[in-house]
Amino acid sequence: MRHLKRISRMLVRAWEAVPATFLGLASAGVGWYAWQVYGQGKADYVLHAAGLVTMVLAGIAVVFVLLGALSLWLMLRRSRGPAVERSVDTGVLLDTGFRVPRFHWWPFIDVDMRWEAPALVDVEVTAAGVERATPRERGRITEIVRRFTIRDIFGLASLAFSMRWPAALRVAPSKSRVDLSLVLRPTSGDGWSHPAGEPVGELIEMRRYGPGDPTRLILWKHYARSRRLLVRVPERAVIPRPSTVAYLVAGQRDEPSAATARTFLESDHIGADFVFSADGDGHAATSTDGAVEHLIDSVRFREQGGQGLARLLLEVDRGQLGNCVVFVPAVAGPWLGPLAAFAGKLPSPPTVVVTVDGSAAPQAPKGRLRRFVLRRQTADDAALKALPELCDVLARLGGPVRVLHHPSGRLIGEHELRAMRLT
Amino acid sequence: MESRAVIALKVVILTAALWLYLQAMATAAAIVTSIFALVAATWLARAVAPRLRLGVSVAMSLLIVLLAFPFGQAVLSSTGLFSGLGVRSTLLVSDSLFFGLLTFGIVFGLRVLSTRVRFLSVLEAAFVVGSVAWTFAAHRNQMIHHPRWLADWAWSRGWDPHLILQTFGIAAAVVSVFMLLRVQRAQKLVLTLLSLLILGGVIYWKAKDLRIEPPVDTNGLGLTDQEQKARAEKGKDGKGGKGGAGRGDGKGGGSGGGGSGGGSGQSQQQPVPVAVAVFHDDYEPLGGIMYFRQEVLSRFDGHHLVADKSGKHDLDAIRALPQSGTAVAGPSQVEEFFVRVPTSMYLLMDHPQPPALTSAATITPIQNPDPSHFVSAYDVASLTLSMAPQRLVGRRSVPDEWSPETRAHYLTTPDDPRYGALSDEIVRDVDPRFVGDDMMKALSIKSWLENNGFYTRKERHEDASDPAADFLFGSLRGYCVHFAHAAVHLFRSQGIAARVAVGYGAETRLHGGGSTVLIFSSSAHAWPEIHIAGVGWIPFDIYPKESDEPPPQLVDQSLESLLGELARKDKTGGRSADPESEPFEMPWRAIALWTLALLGAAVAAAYGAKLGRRLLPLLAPAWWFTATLDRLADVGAVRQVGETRERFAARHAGVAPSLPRLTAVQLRLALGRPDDAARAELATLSRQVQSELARSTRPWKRALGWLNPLGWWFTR
Repeated sequence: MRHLKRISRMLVRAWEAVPATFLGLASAGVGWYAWQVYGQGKADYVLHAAGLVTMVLAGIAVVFVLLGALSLWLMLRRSRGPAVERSVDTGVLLDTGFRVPRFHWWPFIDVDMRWEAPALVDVEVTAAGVERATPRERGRITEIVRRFTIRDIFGLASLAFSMRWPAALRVAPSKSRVDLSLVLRPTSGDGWSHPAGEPVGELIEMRRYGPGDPTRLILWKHYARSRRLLVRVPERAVIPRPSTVAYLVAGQRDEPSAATARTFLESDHIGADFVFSADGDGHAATSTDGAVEHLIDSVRFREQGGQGLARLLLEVDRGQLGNCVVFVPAVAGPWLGPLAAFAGKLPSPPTVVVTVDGSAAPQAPKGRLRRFVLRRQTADDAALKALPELCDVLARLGGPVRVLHHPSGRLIGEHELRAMRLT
Repeated sequence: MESRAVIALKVVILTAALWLYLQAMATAAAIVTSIFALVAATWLARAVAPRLRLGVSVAMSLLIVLLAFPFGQAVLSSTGLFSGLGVRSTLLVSDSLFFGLLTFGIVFGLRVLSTRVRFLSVLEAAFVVGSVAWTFAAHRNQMIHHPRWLADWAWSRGWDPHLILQTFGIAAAVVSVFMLLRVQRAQKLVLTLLSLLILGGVIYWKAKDLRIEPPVDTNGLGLTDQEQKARAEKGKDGKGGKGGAGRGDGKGGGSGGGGSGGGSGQSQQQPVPVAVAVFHDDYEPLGGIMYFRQEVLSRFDGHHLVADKSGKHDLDAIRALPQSGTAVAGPSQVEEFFVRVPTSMYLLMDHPQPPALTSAATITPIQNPDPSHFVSAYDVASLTLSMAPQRLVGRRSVPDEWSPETRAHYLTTPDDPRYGALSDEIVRDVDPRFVGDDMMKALSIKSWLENNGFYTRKERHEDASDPAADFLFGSLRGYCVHFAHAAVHLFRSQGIAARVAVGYGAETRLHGGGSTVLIFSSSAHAWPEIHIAGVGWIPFDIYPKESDEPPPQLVDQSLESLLGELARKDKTGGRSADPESEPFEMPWRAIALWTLALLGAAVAAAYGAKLGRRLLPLLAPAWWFTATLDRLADVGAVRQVGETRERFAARHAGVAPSLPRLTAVQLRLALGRPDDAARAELATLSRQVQSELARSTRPWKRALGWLNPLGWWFTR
């Protein structure tokens, strides 16, 4: 299968180097048929001329595309500027300073551009040719491979080529919208207790109701008076909690989890005394900056996800491991084994946080007829579909499993997971 | 995903195409309904179809198309509707339902396929071009008088409708290509449209004198150049069938039904006009058929009858059109038995030998009156038999003065004894008073073949080694080629000099009463000729009494007279009251001059604006900054969309270091209070920027900037 994909990619790439498209070939073919069968064969002067124009147009499109490609290549060769040096977060629009020639005064042709490497970057080119990139994945970008496609505006001809530019882009995971107080138990002496967490102190404080709060804690009398929902919460913890150990497991679709981890690192929940590590070759970090660098670097270790957990056990004092939070990818992978082994060696099971992208309430077509008529789900939805199964596996570790929806910042509750199981 | 503007453009184009398809066959109500259906289908294809599977969408469109007919019929057969709405309204409802559903299904399918599978956009483009082709389809196969509304209008103004049709074709292709669009900026679109118009104009200019010769089928006789070349190509490929055997001597000997069985014998194509004959005098052929002979086949090569290339025989047949002067036929016809008929021939297709009313005595090339329609023209003086062949009874066929070689040439038959036996049997019944009379024998054979033969194009005798024998001693079912060859072999076996003539046979009853005879490819014919001593060669055609052929169609008199008038140098084809009047000519010169004048005025205005903006700072100092930006724009430094003035200035600080300062001062002036000192600084800085720009820009670029009349247009 992998070989087939590689061959298919090679064929696509080879085809992109040919200045013709299927549409162009089809148009020229139909034009030739009209010209030959009706024009020449039946002396149809309308189709004779129309067929001729279509064929000439397809030919001209190819010529213009070739000329445009040559011109673009020469322009780009001359305009090799300095490397782009920036530090951005994922999802943030970045003006790279690169200008794509748009051939405004050339008829027929237009230029498209995308980044071939790194792949997970959304690139848009404004009408004026200004390149704007939105990284979708954390990491360090040392080289940008831009792929330019010159095509005629009707799609009759097209030609693509790639060029490389040096870069020094540092892309950190963006902060999540997740309200961690809904997810995590207090992690330091100054933290707030959560009603769903371990009881600490008396229920004497109040705060506004938030999604996920148990309804039994709502102050209904106050609601009746003021139409405002308040819930009782425990008083400030009297006994300081032990410091937190957090770990990001790298793997496929781990970007939302990385975002949650960063949010956690830069929030008050983690406290001043923490240890953070992630898959990679560095030592555990005790500062936010160092932790974020770990987050960024972990992207290169997705294939070895979870391997760093064993090292964490050696690096961190066992006493600290009582309050451990593990951020895991949204899809199951080889990291499950190391995580299970790691959890077994902890004094108490870790809190596992899964953050997912995509539609929180997948709209899978119901019924055979709908499935037959409607198009298939997107890949995101497919990943969500496997989520309940992943949660079951993680629940067997013994600790709480929290599932967060990255785009909305919502906690996906048990009832939603149950709904996903049914679809 | 297509932009809304592009979809709106496509809906307009599709609506126009739909109207062209329906205007001839649907009621106004049905057309309006169909247009609504088109808009609905386009909307649905955009709003709903993306969520459906492609196969489901296509199946839906097919289903709707298939349901259109039964739904329309159901309305028609509903007695309740008839009684409730009345006949007229019921018909309108049925028509509207049928065409509405049909349109909805087709447009929905096309739109879905076009948006989901990129290369299938070509179907939409074909739909648009097809609508134009459909509207003007009647002109195909050289029917230059169709469609009448267009042809009459054009001819009456001296225009060739082909030019108009080509223009429609070019326009249709240019418009249809916009069906391939997805998203595009207006500027590029306009620029491309202008380029397409220029391209269309060039193609029109190159193709305006184009003549298209559609493939013709002269009943398998291969009378035209085109057919002979096709046969030669086929022969080269080693696929040569038996059809060409008769003329396959490789010497360009002409067409033929050579060796019985030449060609398919079945005309698969539409008849195409191939020649026009204009008679100078009144002429009525004796048998009601005018024979336009092109070639004669007299040499028996052991298998077939082929054209004689030795130069010793068939000297009465003129085989080539002379470049100049007059070609005169060899002496064979005795003039007292013939009447001289002068004609002019105008060929619409290339022929290897010039067809002429048999027997042509002289052929003289004349000036082609209309090269866009005729390939060649020549005058012919023909000698046609002035009496019925029966009146020549009592004459011998072979004259005494013929050499033994000539006798052998015209009397050689296949080595098949059955020819002699059959001919003996036929002539045995001749009236005893005429025993031994060649003419009487010939008449008996002709009569026998006419009574016993069956004319059909369905039996080709292709696989037989001697198709004439296969026909004659087999089913006796065949077409002109078989009858002609069989008759010639039977005549020769009785000592009658005979040969096969090929060309066109035009029945007078099918033509109009005028002096023009239009000859179609379907009139291609082969017939026997016999020689009568003291008279010459005369056509001696066989008319089988039984046939399965449908009755021939009348020749369109409108087309016949149109081509006749064109041959007579009337550019309007007889459609104008004053044929001498000059046809309308497009005033290209005036158009070019006016266009140049307008362009010149526009350029002058642009230069005026440019100069004005340069001089304005002298009167109003606030314009210093604009004048400086104009100079920057002249050399290509233009502020981009979304770019602030400060960023623009910073970007070009390398070219003009004082630009950021100038921009800051300009902003201070624009946003703050009037300040004379700032105004003075603005002027100073502007001059400074201009001199910096002059120093840092190459001279040629500066010169181009000066010449550019539109640099100021891009100043933001």
